[in-house]
Amino acid sequence: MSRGIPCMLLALGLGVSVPAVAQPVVLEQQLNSVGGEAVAVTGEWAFVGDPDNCRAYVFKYDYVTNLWGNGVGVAGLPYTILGSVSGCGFAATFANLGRFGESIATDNGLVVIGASTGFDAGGFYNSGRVFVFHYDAGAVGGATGGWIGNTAVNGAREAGLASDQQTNAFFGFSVAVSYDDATGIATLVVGAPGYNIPGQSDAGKVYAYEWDTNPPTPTLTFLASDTGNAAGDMLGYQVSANDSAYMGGVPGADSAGFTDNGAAFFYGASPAVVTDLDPPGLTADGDSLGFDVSLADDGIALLGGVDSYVLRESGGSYQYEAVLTGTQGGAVSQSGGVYGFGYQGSSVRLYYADTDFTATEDWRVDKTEVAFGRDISAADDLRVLVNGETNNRAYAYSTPCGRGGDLIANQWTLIGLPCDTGSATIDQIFGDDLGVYGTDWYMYRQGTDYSGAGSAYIGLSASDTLEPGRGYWLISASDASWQVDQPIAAQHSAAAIDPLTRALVGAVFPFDLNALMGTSYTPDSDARVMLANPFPAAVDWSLSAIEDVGGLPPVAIGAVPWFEGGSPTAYVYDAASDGYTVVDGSVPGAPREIGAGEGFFVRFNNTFYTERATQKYLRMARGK
Amino acid sequence: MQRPTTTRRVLSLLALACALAAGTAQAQQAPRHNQWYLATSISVFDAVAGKSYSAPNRALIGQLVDASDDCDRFDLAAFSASNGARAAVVFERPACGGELVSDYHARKGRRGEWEMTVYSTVAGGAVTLSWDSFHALKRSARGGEVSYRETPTRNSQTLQNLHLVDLETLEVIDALGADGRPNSYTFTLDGQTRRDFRWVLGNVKSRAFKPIVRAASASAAVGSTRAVAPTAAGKFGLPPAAN
Repeated sequence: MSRGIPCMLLALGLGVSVPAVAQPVVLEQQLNSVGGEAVAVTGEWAFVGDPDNCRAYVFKYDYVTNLWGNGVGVAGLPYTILGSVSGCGFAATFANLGRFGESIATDNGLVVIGASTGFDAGGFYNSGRVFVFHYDAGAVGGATGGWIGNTAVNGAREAGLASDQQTNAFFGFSVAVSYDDATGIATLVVGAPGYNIPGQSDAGKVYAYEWDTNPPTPTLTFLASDTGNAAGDMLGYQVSANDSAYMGGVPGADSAGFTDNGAAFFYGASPAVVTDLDPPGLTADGDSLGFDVSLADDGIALLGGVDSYVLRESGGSYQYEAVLTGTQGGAVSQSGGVYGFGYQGSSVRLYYADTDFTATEDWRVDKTEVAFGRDISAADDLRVLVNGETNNRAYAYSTPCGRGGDLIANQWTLIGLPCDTGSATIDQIFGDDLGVYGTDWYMYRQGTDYSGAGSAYIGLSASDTLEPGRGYWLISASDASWQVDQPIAAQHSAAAIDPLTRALVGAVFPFDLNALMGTSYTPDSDARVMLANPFPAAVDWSLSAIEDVGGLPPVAIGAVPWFEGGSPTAYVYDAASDGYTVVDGSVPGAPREIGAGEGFFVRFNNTFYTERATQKYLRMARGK
Repeated sequence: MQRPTTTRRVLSLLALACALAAGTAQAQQAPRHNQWYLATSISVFDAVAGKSYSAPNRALIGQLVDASDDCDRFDLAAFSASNGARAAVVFERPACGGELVSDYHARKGRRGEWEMTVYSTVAGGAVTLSWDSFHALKRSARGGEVSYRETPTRNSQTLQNLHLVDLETLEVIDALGADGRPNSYTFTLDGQTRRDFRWVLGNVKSRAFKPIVRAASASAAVGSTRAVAPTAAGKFGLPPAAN
């Protein structure tokens, strides 16, 4: 491997031209920051690194406008700045924060930011540091809007070793964090690709830490480390982590007689278990596999390089599944079944409707800018952040209508729209995916008889439109997938407050039940109403409630009947098992999420009808 | 010759003492959880079709300070009847709305029983029940809102004291195996379409083997998707009913 990290950047070619393909409408937003080399997104928070000025910009997402901004209605402006507000100008600051923002990773209210040329009082030039922050809603009034902590990590804290800081180790050149919701403990991984081992310069090193976020005080504990095998391996050029494992890219590794074909080291449940992830026989000189790496909990690993590889866990090891050629050092990123690939200098492509990586991507955006796609961060609701280093900006993309679902041949599926498609007909929405309406596929809606009888369903015509929040039965004569390709026609209604005032809510969809059901209908028994998730990502049913508009104060589960007249249970039809999954956020162990594109039933009893003097709204909410 | 023998004996005694101490320590380490749940999953393998079928729900048993042995809000009703399903595991509680997918009881002492029924129409199918999902629960009441923090664990006296009784074969399956991992149970229905089980917390006594007593007219679930009207609306028929 040729020595030196910048050399690798130059070694990768640029510019791949591919024809445009059909895709859902993608919205682009340019974020008003400088820098942009590193990007990271989770929930409503986005981070853009500006290492030339030793800082990182924080943006907050507005789920009503679908735009990133400062959190108080101004799109594009940052919410706050972490690191050095005044830049790297002072020597002392530069020593502490050198290239703060070179790398960023975030997960569930945690963010870790690398400063790969920073160093502390030890004086090891370019040894590198990382800084960890966590979000505390109680500190929102502070200078950094609730992002507090700012704890520096300088290297390993291995037993018997006060520090292993090295000049030019570039600790923090890469970072990763994975938060385990069940335990409140995160895994933090840091790469130092310039780390030397005896006689072997730039072998590289990865470090793993346990980040216990439980009260009263978050703590970091060193877990393990590992080094590259030979000079120029640069282990830790990029790192990634999930709840139980982590991995480090080794783009300079030589194997099978090739030079710099690269690899990735995978560390399983025990840090001692190291697996060399190098698709045998598929890489060649200079392929630099491991230039980026991505590991998630669904058993898929993505390895970036001159080409990018997909590996899937099978039988306890990762097996090669597909290669995407010509990514040219672009980044790889995945989250909740959404897989992103950067084609450096040309495009970013997303797969999510299925996991056939040999097929055409589900979505792509093309932009001929040097380094475009070198870093990307994908969220499970089809929002992607992309670097824009050379033009001092970052780009945010979203596809608010881009979700869909799978159909089993001749098996009914209860679906819903992930957005408002306005006047688009069902033929326009589904026809391109499913064929001829009435012959290849068919749809039903619920009439005004809510008894649940099959005879009460009403068949749709090809020119009918659909309403977000309502459920529809859909059937296809063959196995198929559908996806909404239309632009979003209207945003969800504004909801400035959390209807329950108790939970973090990202977006609220108010559904007018009286408008749906009318006020004259009185059922003989419980009504069964077909509804659907109106969002392009999973909805947290435990955050949903029924309210009188402008009437009742927020109610809470348990203390009062939060679903007055209704059951706080949703029944999601599962076509695969031909049955209904019972979803209830108030019962431990029960599922609480309803997936994008999924429809469901809710029951209402006579109490609901006797209390209809005021309007009744079902508020469905997304969690963060 | 005496000296090594003595040494070996001393070492053996030390080893025994250490083993006993370790056993004691292990018993002390496993806490007893008063609020908890265990989720039982079902899969049915159809050897003829080469397919496995699973149910849309897991069957939850547990104890909560807020729950009662009668019907309560923690007892979630299924939406469709399980009779006729390829795979289902439920609790038949007609007084609580029919078939339940969760059956929480009050927290009282160290004993408890839950009657559970498995359904499958897959002829000759291998039915597997598994329960790798024991969670300890911690109640939180903040601002009048009650919630439960769920923590997965295998280190629990409660889990160690759970046993599944097959009321057809009278076989008793401990929730945990000797290796400390959750057991599973595979069987065939031998021409039947359902089988009853009883989860027992505590010692399995003779009454745990008694068959489940059912009312003459077993109640259906909240709705029945099996009653599909196939006659109308062209080649595809009608969607599943929900009544």
